[in-house]
Amino acid sequence: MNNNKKTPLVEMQGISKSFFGNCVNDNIDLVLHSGEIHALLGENGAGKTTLMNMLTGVYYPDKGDIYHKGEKIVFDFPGKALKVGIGMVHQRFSLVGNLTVLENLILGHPDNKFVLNMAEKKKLIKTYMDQFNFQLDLDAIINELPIGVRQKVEILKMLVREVDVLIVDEPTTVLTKQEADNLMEILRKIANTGKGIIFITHKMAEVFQIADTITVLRKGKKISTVSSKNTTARELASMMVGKENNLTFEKPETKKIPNVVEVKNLFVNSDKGVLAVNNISFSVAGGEVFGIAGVTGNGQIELCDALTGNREVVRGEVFFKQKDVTHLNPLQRIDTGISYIPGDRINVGVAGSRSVWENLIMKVYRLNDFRKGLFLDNKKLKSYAEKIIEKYDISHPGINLPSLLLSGGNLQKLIIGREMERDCDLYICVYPTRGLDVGATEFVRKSILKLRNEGKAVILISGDFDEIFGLSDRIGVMYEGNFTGIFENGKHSLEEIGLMMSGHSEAEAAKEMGNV
Amino acid sequence: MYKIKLEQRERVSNQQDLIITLAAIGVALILSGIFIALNGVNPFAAFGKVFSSAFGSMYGISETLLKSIPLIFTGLAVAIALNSKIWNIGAEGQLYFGAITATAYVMYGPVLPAPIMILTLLALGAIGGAFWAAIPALLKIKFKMNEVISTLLLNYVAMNIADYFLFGAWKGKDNFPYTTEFPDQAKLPQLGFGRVHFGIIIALVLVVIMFLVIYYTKTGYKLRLTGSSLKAAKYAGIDIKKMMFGVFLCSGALAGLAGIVQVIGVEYKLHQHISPGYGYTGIIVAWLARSNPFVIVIFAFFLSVLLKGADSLQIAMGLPAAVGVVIQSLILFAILGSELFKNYNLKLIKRSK
Amino acid sequence: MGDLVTILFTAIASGTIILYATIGEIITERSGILNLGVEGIMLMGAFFGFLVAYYTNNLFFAIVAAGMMGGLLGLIHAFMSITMRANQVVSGLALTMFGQGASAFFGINLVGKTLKTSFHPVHIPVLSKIPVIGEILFQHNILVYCGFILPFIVWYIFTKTTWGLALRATGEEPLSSEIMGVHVIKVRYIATIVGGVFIGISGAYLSVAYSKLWVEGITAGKGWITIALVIFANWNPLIAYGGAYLFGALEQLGLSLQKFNIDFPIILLKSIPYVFTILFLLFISLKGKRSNLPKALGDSYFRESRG
Repeated sequence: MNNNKKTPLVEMQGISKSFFGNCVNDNIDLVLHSGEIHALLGENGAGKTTLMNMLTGVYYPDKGDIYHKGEKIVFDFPGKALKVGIGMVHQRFSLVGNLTVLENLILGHPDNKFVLNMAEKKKLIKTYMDQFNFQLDLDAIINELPIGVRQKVEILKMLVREVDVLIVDEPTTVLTKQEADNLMEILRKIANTGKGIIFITHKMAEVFQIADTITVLRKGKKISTVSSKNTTARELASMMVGKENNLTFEKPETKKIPNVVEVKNLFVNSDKGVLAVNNISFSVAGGEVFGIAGVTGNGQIELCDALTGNREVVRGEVFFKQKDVTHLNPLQRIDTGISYIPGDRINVGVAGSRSVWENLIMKVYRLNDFRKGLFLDNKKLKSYAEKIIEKYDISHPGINLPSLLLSGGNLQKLIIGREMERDCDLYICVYPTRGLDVGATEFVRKSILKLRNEGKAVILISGDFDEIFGLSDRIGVMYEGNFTGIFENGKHSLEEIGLMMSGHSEAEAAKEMGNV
Repeated sequence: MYKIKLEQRERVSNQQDLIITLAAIGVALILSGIFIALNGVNPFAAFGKVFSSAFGSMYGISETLLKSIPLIFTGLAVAIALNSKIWNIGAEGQLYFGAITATAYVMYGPVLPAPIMILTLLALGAIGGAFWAAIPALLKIKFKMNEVISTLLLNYVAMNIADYFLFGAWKGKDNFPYTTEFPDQAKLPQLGFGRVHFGIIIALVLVVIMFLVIYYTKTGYKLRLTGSSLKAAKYAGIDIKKMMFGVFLCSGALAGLAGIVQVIGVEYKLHQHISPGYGYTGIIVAWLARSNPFVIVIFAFFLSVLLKGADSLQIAMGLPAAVGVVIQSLILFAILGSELFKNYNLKLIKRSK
Repeated sequence: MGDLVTILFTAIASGTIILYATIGEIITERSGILNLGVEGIMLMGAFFGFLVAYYTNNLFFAIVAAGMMGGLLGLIHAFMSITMRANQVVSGLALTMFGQGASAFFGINLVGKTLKTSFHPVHIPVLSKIPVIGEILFQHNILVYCGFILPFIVWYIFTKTTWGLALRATGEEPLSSEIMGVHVIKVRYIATIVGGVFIGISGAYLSVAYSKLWVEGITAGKGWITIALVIFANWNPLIAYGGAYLFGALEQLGLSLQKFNIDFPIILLKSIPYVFTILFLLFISLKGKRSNLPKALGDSYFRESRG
């Protein structure tokens, strides 16, 4: 572990970035030295990837400067970062699928002559592979390789281009334990040759396994930078998730209606055909909020799709009000009284180019109340829409103008107002306050509680701990397609939940935090 | 050094949209002028002739109106598909197949009293067009085959089938590839203004029906939603596949009507050239009109001015009628190019190191 | 037997038309640009090649001129698709329309004219004397022979040169390629122009060497068949080879049916290529994804940073 007192390899000063009024990085500093492995730790949405995207020129910072080996640098074309020696291995790989490993490694290399001498190139690549102990079949086609191997190709790609700064973004999410350990060895070797590595992760265990320095981000702000020797998991966990919030919500006792939703041994596949929901069973009562915590990508989307009818289940059953709805299509589920407030409000929750009122009637246009002979009673529909606008205080530029003109908060009000007016019995809310300002966030949370208090069943999938803790009656922590724990809110602390999100079982997490 | 930076625009007001579109048409007309000049003809004289032939006499206006009728049908046909992001390039083939289907009845079926005969033929024309569109529809829905190529290839097949009958069983007495003249009961009545026939009433009625359906019915609402966002439509519980199939059929039916209306309104027989590309021109009409049924009528008329003008240029100045096709393509290019200005603000910035 | 030889001979001669165009379109699509203007470019190439051949009696010039015309039209499509971020489907359709109109427009005086010179068959010494095979393969004109080797040259460039590597990567992952140092915009412009050149040449071959005449719409949809053939060939020039001649053979299918006394309406035989193309595409959809479908085909590319 070298901590050179010389010029740092990379220095990011006062970096700030906002997207559509939403602050994603707020005045962040980061320093990387040669030979150092620097972990960038934080939950989903903390701003880690965005920060690194600015270090590689994918985004431009709104404020702040970036220095590379002491010189200020501006990225004016996509290839600039790699050209100066900064390379990033993204979560979604950028390899060219139908080419071979060798072709991917030499693509765009400045030393390429017109006719490629493959034999010569192979020899050259071999020297890199030997140096870092990679063994790859250079003639294999990328699309046919398992993900773990592809990741190695990505890293080797950077080494061949002689980067001095290597950024890896959540590399172990796609690896087995063994592959992950192997990766750590390779990274350590790379760092020992004098390169600097930035390692983005949300997993605590990894940080202690490999990092020299750790920077913790939370909600776009840098919390602290510490040396790995001088800190503990507990300290890091509390930096990541923040202090227990004093956000109290009035949660009166409600009469619970048992088993409004029952999920029994559910198996659901992801788009890639792999099991994303793995034998999950749980139930939700009317009059309670069931909060599902967990890092994105552990099966929440697939579970949600299975509940709303947007995805076929492999095995298992879903019951709603004691009726088997497992194979009902989305329209039928809407009719039985299931409401879904999607995480992607712009593309799924509304048809952006259609008007405000057209989007407000999305779930009710088929009702007989709005029929006028063969036609739709547009007047009645519009006044229905206006009623919702007034009741929920939705600010809009014009009822006939496209919905995409609404601000994020008002768009969510539109969606929530529309759904609440339907008086359904189950509400599935996915990341409902993502990207919203304080006022809108408060409105959403109050609405969720209102639904709960009126006896509705609410399933809340969220990455925001304030929300989970503030609103839920019971909490389920999802990890790799199943619940590592389901318990009453209040039984476990934030840190314990953090550990459960990283794979610890309920018992293990409690033990770890001394809460036996 | 300066460079142009593109900045994404949120949206453009209807007013700005119109201005940009008109500017684009202007650019296209200028390019067309150059094109015409290249052939040794004075472009201003040419445009003058186009204008005068379309508007200079009652006859001219009536002929222009006449030409706009099939364009309204094909414009509607392509528009209804485009609205759901479906590319129906096969309107030409559906037009012919609709005409073929109805002609088959005339050839082999009993003559009926006038209104019933006409209704029957119209229905058959619509069914024929819908059938021809159902093929690429199924290919797309069931096998994800891209509809651009399938609809296009079927155009050639449809015209080939027409040839088969015209050179074969339906050949007229004088051995030319056209049918004998249709019985009077099959002809659409004229309206007393040149050759303008009842077809224009049908077309305008359809425009109104389309408007009503799209904006005042449940199906229309589903169409609006699907055309705006497939994901949101699915979320709202709409069956996308059924929608797509229905849209294809309607599109084909409208194109089929274009064909039969031409046959029983103007030609009174089936022959190889009942359409000088109305199906393709319909694409331009739909694209220009942004799929608004009433605006389609306006642009259908505008393009028929062009088509009528091209005919006159051929007669008066010896310019091949294909000049009309060239000008249409230039208009399409210009509109395409103008999209850049609708989607982005152009900013001049200093090139940084 | 003699009939079979004639049929196969003609299959190769006529398949050469689509062969050139398919190679050209493969190059363009591999870079990620979808060019639906093939029919229009082919027509312009056919017309312009015939024009130059008629007035200069120089066949070489004719082919070169047609190629340049095709390249120019390719440039227009590239400009619209890349720089103007236009919808590539519509741009291609507009180009087709333009080609159909302009070729009919300018070519009207060429209808019915005959060329004074033409491509004569060149019998390859020794090889052309081989019974059957020699007659089928080695008694063609020089353009057909060029067509024999073109796919191999293009395949070699694709797989063994830096250019080819850059091209193949650009159509799959343009942004990653740019990051690695490939100038995506340059690659796409060149690929579209070069593609246009080959398509123009294919048109000239049709009018000057094969049919030896010009008439409006002479290509009769071969441009569309080309586009389908590119998919069928899985964007691989070597497969395009076989596919093109197969199509040539399909066109002769009509004649074959006649020879074997199968009663089938002659006029409808003209539909065979189109129907078979659709069937081929159907077959492909059923068989599964084409592994070489350029992932970025038809998408607009933005070189500026995302935000």
